[in-house]
Amino acid sequence: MKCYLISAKWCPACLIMLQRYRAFFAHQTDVDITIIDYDEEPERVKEFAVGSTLPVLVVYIDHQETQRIIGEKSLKQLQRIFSI
Amino acid sequence: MKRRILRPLLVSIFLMLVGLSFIHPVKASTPIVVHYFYDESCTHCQDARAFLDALAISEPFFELNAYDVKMAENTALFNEVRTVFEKRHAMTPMIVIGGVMLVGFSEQTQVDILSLYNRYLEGEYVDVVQMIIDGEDIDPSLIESIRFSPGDYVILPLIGAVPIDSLSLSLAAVVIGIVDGFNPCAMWILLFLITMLVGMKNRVRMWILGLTFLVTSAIVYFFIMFSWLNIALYVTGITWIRILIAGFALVFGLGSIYRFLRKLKKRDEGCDVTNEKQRRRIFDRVQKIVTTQYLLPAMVGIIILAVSVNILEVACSAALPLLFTQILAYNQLASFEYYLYILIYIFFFLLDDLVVFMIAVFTLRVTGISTKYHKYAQLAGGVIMCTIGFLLMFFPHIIMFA
Repeated sequence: MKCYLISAKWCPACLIMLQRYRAFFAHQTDVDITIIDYDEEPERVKEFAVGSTLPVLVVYIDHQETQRIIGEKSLKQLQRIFSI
Repeated sequence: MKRRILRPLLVSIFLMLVGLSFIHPVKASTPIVVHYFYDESCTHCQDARAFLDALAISEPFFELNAYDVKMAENTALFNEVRTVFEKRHAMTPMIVIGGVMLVGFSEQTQVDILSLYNRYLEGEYVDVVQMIIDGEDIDPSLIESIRFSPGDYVILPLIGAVPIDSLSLSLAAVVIGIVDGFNPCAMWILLFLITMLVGMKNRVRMWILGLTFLVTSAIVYFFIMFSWLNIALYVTGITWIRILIAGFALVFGLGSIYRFLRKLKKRDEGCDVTNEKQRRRIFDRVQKIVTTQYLLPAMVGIIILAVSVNILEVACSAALPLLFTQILAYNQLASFEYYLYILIYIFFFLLDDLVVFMIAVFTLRVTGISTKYHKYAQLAGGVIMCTIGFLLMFFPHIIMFA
């Protein structure tokens, strides 16, 4: 599973979710998270057609986008989304 | 024999006690002097004069001394009285009864004058203005408050005795300051700066540049609030301005509550991307400053950045500090007390920034404050603004704590 996390240094929700995603996927060896900075990599951000709310986690399985999680989510919500 | 002496003695004592009980304990054998400072051109002064003249006729112990502050012989006394009462900004009409100064004239002032007159009729009365005229030294304990008699204190654990009036204003400063601090406008630039500093892994540089940013922000905020307070002090007596500010508070408060309700419906809560051009320009500046090799130019850069960002962002979070300065203006305080309450407000306004900064310095990890706290702070801010707006419009005397 390949995940792209579009986040920004000035965004409190991004900082919270960055740590939360790391903890959430810590024990899953098949998950690879790439962080894309909203301000430093605008061209890459454009590819993901991100809206006006950050952070955005785009999940790919076999090169297909399967999930898009926008904004701040609790651990419980993440468990529900990923059915863990 | 004993009975012959004892009985008339007991009867005499009883009759004496009965007689004494009919004597009404009126303390004021001397009149209560009301010192009234006025200006011919001030309309509130004319209303005050009519009220005071009526009292001078109806109340036997009420004596009125009026001073036109435009007359040279009264100007010095006017200034000296304001200095002694530590209310150098006080304007006319200004009324001093005993150890209490009342500034302005409203229905509440009329109630205050009567309650002071009755308080001094039955209690200790010292004419402070007469003492000033006589050139006597004024003990600060003689200066009193209208709402609370000396001795009206609450005992707080660890802190001890705190006057009720200062407690109310301190509490307002703490609560409104904290709610204002959760405003995300004030937070984003600090987070970006901290993230850049954490990346450099130099704690000393982090301390110096981070604290420079926070202290400069505090100073800028202080000057902004101080300027608003000075304007507020001059316009508190003008009814239409009070109603205008109350209307402004109600509109902004309802706007905040509406935005909170909209966020409740929103499925995905996070950071809204706005003002991209301005943000990129500021980020480029921060990057340049943080990567500057020498500390002094970096500090100067941070100071300039903090000043410009705080001035730019003030429109985003103006409502609460503006209303707080309005509350301060309604409470006639000594100059140092105004500064003190503004400092308390700013400390609590910056408290969440300080916490985030400290965590970053000690752990070298940047933490954000959850969106849900910002959301509820928006609701709290809205409720506070509506409450103050409502009170300012209909019951302005309630927000006069002191």
